[in-house]
Amino acid sequence: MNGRTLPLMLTLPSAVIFIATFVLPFIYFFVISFWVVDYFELTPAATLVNYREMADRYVGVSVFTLWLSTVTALATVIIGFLYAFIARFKLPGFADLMIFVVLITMFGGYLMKIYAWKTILGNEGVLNSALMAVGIITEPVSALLYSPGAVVVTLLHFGLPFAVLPIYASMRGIKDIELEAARDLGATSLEIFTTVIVPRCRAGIVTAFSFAFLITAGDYITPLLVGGKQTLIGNLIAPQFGMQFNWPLGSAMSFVMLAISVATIFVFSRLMARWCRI
Amino acid sequence: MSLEILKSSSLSRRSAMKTGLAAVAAAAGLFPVRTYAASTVTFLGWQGYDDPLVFDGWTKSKDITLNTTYIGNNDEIVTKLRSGGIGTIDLVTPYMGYVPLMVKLDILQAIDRARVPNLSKVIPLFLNDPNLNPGGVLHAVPFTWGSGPMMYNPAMVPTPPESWKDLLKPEFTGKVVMMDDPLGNMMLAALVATDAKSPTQLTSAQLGAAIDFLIAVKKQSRAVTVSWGDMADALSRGDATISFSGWETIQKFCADKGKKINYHYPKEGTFAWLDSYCIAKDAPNLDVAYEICNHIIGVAPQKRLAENAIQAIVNTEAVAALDPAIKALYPYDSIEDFGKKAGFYSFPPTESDGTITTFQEWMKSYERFKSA
Repeated sequence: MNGRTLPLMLTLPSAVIFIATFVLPFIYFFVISFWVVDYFELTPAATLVNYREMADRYVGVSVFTLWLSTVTALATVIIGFLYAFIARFKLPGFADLMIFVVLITMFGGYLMKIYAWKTILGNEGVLNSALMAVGIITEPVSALLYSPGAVVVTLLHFGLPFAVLPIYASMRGIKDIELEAARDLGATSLEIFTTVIVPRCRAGIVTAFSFAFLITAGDYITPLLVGGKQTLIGNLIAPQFGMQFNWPLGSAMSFVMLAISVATIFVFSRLMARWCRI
Repeated sequence: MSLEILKSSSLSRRSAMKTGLAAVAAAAGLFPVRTYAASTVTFLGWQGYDDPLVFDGWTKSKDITLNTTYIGNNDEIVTKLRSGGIGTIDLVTPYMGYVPLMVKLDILQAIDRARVPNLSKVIPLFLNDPNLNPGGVLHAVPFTWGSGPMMYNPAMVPTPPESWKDLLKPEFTGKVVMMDDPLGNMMLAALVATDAKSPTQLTSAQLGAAIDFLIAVKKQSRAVTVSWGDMADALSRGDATISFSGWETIQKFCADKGKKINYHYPKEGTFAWLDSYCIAKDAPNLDVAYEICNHIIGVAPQKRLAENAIQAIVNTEAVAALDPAIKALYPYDSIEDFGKKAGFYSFPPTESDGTITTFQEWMKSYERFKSA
């Protein structure tokens, strides 16, 4: 085995897994998005009817999903950025501990976090009980749970580690001497922040936004459990692969949302690039 | 050798001779006789419906290995049987509404009543349900049942509303909970909001009226939950005080959480459901499948189902043997009256006749409710 084949051999297992579990299903679902269902059977066709149906019937839910995903992703990036900023620049002595805490939260299961928030936000939950105990409110605030806000908070909690880690990794690449050089050249703290720190963290910020956005846009469990009456596009896609047995329509809906998600991330990336004047 | 013969559903002359020899050998005490050889039976059904079989080591005592695949919805049974499952799957557990469709698709086989003697102990209301007997021929062994009553918190709602429509009154704004159960919700809404003779035989206008009513209830609701367990959570935590549709077992879920929740049948009534054991077409282990169908409606498995899963049962002897507290969860003592309050409705049509809406149209319309 020579020096050229060894890397190929080492890459092979992961490539096989990636192709078998992602690329091939991806191609399969893309192909059947042009098929139809005839009496509980997938029937090959070459039609755009599923994409037309997506455009006719699901625009409203798609826009709501896009809006909620963007809000969640921006909130996650901002909070994640602040956390990483404090760990890197304000409390560097505690940085390892702070990142360890973030990693610890990843061990908690997804559903466990959802049910934890249900316990916190419910009518008889921790938050309402505490607010009533100190006399801030006299009746439970029922809007805490089963609302878009509850979905954002829950997904923010879930997505935060995925935001903190890439942003913190970017910040660790910023050397103190760079900040000192900027300061020596007369930059204010705000200018250092906007012209040095943020641009140097651009890759981490875009990665964090992408994670948080995609997690929200593809989620259908959180809205079901804490969203109350909220419906995201995932809640309408999932039944197409179950009760409605309309895989072609479900596939078309998925690919449209994928395209919208990629476009949103691209726009965010360009906005960040413009900010950073790159 | 004899065991293989017993597995066969038809006996040739040669195999009959072998059987005779085996019987003689068994009678002479040469080797023990077992009813069946070790069999691997493929079960495709709801999680928990296999529990009464494995409970108390019954399957092990019969050398039966259950190869279980759990379903997330009834359609999975149809799709799996239609996509290569025929000849490999033995048992399925569809909701009664799907049975006529599955018979029409020729994926089930008729039940030979003589091979299921425990059918004689089944409450006639369930055994004679037309859905289980398409064309007058039994195709499903009724196993467990329930309905969609109104659940309410008596501490907050001392007198439950007379009508489902009362849920739209201002005093219930933000206090109603629904479950994301498309078929149940649409049947119930059709019962309440339309003049259809059957809530599953709806014209487009009636379907539209049913969805409009569902949307109105949704606007009154605090949440549309993903499961009955979640509905029980919402009622137990005080997030909701009353429900649109429900399940009798929810009162037990809530009692376990320390909250008293009752159920009630408003004047329009509700839908009922009946789940069954069916034998798939060309089931590879037909004899064992029959023995399982008979066993699952026996007294011990039915008691297990009632006491462990808190589900309603069909065997009269098992009902009589239930603990009074468990028995009180369901209207066993007024089962005929229950039949008047909760209807076992057929499945919506799957093919259009130009007038009555199909199941596919129902599901598309339901998305209007989900998106509202």
